[in-house]
Amino acid sequence: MLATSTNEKQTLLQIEELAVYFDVGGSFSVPLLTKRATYVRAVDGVNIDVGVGETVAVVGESGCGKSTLARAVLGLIESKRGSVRIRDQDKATFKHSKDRFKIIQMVFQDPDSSLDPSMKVKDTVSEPLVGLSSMSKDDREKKAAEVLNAVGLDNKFLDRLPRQLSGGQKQRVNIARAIVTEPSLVILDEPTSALDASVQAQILNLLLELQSKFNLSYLIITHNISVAEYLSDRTYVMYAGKIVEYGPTNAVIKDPRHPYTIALITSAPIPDPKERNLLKVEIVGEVPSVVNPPPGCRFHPRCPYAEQKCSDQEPLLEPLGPSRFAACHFIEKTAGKAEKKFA
Amino acid sequence: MEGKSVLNVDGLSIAYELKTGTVRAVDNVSMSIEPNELVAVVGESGCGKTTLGLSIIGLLPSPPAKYVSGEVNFNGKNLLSLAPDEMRLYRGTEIAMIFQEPMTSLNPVFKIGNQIREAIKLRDSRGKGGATSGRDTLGSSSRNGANDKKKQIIDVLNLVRIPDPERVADRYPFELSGGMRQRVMIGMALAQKPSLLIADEPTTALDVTTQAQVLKLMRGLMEEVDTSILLITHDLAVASQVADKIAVMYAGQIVEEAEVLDLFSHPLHPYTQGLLACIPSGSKEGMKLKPIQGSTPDLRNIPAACKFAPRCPCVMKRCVATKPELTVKEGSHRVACYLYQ
Repeated sequence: MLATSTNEKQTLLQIEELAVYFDVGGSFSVPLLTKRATYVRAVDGVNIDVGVGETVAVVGESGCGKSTLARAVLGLIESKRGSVRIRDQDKATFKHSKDRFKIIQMVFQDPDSSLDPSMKVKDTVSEPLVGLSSMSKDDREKKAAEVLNAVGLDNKFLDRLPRQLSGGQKQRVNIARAIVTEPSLVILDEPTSALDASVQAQILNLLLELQSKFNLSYLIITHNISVAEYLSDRTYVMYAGKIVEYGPTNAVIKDPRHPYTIALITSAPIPDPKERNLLKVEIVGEVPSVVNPPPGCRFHPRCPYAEQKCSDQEPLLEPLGPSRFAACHFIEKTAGKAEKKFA
Repeated sequence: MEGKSVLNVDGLSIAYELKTGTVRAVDNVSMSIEPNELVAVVGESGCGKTTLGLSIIGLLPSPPAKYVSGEVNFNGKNLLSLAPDEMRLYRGTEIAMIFQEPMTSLNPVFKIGNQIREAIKLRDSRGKGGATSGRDTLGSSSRNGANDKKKQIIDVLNLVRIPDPERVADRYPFELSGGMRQRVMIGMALAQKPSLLIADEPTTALDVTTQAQVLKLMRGLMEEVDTSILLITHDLAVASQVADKIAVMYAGQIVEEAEVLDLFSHPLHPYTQGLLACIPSGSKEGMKLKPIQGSTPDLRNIPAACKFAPRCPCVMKRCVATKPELTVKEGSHRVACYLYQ
């Protein structure tokens, strides 16, 4: 909804040149001989901004660093460099981490393992209020019941344990726990990937409902293009720790320009037997290791358009159109390559 | 027509007898697979699709599983009537199966080449021709020894388009990516030249770009190796891309079965319609998803009549009184719903 007014919108979250490296070091036996540090460059210089009330999706395959990115934004893991600004304040300058958590909350991927199996639903949902508010116990429980109602769970669920809930209900509890402190931004890490199709649709609709009700911004981490398309205003495509393309979701999905985005979108099965796009895909190979990523453009070993320049020099994100960017040396070659599928 | 079917499941019911009660995981399922046909069984978790797959290849743990009734006719032979020793001759050779998680299906302590060799050895010991050129050299294979075996291993890896097969044969499973592992599994399964390959969520653990490659490979090999595939999946979109025929399962029952084009242009059962309306396509401005109400039922506690009735938007009095059977609506399109009876 804010896609066209990028310039005027208020920025809620600004990620600048964020990098997260994991030290995977040398072997234990000869640490002194192999002094050279080896890093997994999970996130390697990423810029993303999320406006107030906006939904931004980060799309990519496993190992591209999208979940690491989410965790680094929240401060659950340390970043190597770069900055995260929340409401124009650098993350590092917040006095207490709980001040950040008042603004940003997260819903984790696995609805099962992210709930304490021995905690009742009402305790799980009201727990964030213990640290982040000065409410009394009664008020906290009242608030929990209120939020649970908002996510579609009535009062009979208050005293249930996670094992008494279905997958969809568990995810509703997770969402309730995230919004109970009235945050401005909720990071959703694969919010529906563990759910059945019929339940996924319920949760997606619920997320839209909550967004307009509580004026939330979302940062959605997903591998599922259709989830990104359904929920988001803008989409960032991530590959091997880098953003390769971003822009308004409609534009990115209907007219993808980076060769990886094209591959990703044409590989996503569409439920239409008359358009068997899947049997025509030409992508080869798999996601590279980020310990030793390919030089130059990280996609070049799998790219049908790659030339010498692609392995020599890393392409930067260049403007493509209104608020659209892609990082490819030969972007002119990809014009209209994926049009057929969505025409 | 019927006589030619590779697989003909007739009125199959399977129950799990658990301490907490009896679960009817597969309930009166009938379906058939023709030669060179890819049939997809689609359903959500707990619908019994995996139990169905395992029961065909005879891998159900029994107890707790119990065959209640029905027949599994494979090339005219009822597999359920076979003794375990006889069944073993079919399993892996005539009917092969691949699973969701290729890492746990491969033995972690043996090199890829060794594991493929085992599959080839099994094939030769049963006097079957291979899926690869191994068939032509079968007569001389015992004399040519190691070199010939090695060539056959490479042939299997080439069959599933694994680049640099010599090196991959010398690797352990953990050194391969998920997509590679699943290719190896497919290669091992097809090396036996089975008449039927059961693939249980073969691409669910894979990334989309890898999934596309593996599905394309499977579809291509089906013709190349001359086999049939039973694809078990939760993903209607995947099924629509590769299947010839789709059976939609709900709570142990096939509720609808049709040719793929037919199913997508005229979905009949409210559950199938619901599943299709659940797939997000287009943006939120376009149209809102219409989710199916409620959640998938607990199989221990299931409606006696139509199992979908509690979630069905078109439920009628009849639906909660008696159970609708799968009946032919038109041509080969079958549906179990009173709206059409």
